[in-house]
Amino acid sequence: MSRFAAELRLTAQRLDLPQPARSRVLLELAADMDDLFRHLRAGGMDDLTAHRDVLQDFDLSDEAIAELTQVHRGPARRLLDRLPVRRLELWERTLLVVMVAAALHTGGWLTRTVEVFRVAGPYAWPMLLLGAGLLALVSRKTYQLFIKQDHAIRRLRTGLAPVLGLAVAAIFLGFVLPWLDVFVQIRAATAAALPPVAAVMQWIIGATALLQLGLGLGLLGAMAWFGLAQKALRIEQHETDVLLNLPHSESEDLTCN
Amino acid sequence: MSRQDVTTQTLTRNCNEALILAALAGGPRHGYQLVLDIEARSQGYFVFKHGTLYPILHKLEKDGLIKGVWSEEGPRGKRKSYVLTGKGRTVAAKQRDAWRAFITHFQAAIAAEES
Repeated sequence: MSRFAAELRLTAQRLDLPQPARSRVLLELAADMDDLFRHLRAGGMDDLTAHRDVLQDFDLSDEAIAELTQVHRGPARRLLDRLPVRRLELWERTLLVVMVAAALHTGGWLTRTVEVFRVAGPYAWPMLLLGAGLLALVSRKTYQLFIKQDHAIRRLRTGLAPVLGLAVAAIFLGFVLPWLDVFVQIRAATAAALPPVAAVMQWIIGATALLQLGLGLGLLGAMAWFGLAQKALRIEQHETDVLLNLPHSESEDLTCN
Repeated sequence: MSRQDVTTQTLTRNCNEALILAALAGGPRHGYQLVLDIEARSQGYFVFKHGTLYPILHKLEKDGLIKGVWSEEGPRGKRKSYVLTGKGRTVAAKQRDAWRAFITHFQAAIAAEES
């Protein structure tokens, strides 16, 4: 562990950079700080003075932090940085509402035109609502991790569990809704005096469609969750790298490169 | 205005970049070595704080003038050193000429003021 680990952690809190850039900057700083410390010690300086001098020399001003941030941020993030925070939040929320509304509208159109949705009947709607929710959650997380590049550890996994939860719920509904449909179909068949075979056939068609929708939505949700969780994991690994790979500093080792 | 032009508006930035590129012309250097090298070459006239060095280094790296290389240096762990790229070498040469021209004109301007 670097003898400057505590100070580097404070610097890390000020560096609002996406990973892996943040870890790389910190590792570079840690290595150079330790090397300068060794150099000063080799020149005859005592431990305490060398430590203090290195900290003074490596003190990153707000201006330097801002410049580093500017260099490492992607074009999308630089564009977002130009917007005032309040206006950005308003834009984010509006965009999310528009996306969900568009998803529901498209869903409505699908239920009228596409065979699998049409056959599923009114039971397709809970599935579509679930799909719109899933789309909203995945979009929000994708925006946070890839466009806004907000890689703060405490917010990293927020919203990931609900994605997986909705994916599982879609599969669950795909199995449960057909059984609800059995009851409805049998009552309808009894009222219309349909032959039992025709009622069963109708149920099988509807049940298959619902199962397809549930499994399809569940699979897409699970894939999205996996991709986002992998990204979060990589970011966490970079954070861990910084904590574990900070170079060792031994005041006794006065070798200078 | 290109990177190799020296103007009064961009004087500090150009000066810092020229010093770093010139120091790297001597071979790969770590960040802390660059600071010490520039200080030694200028006989203590240009004293860089490391805090100001990294934004410049990373900008030069992003612009493709220098390249950062990570290496494992035994018990000391991972170290990043910088080397000049072909593009960086060309820009460094042009910057040298631009600085010579700037200094010549600057001296002439000062002399004119004195007389």
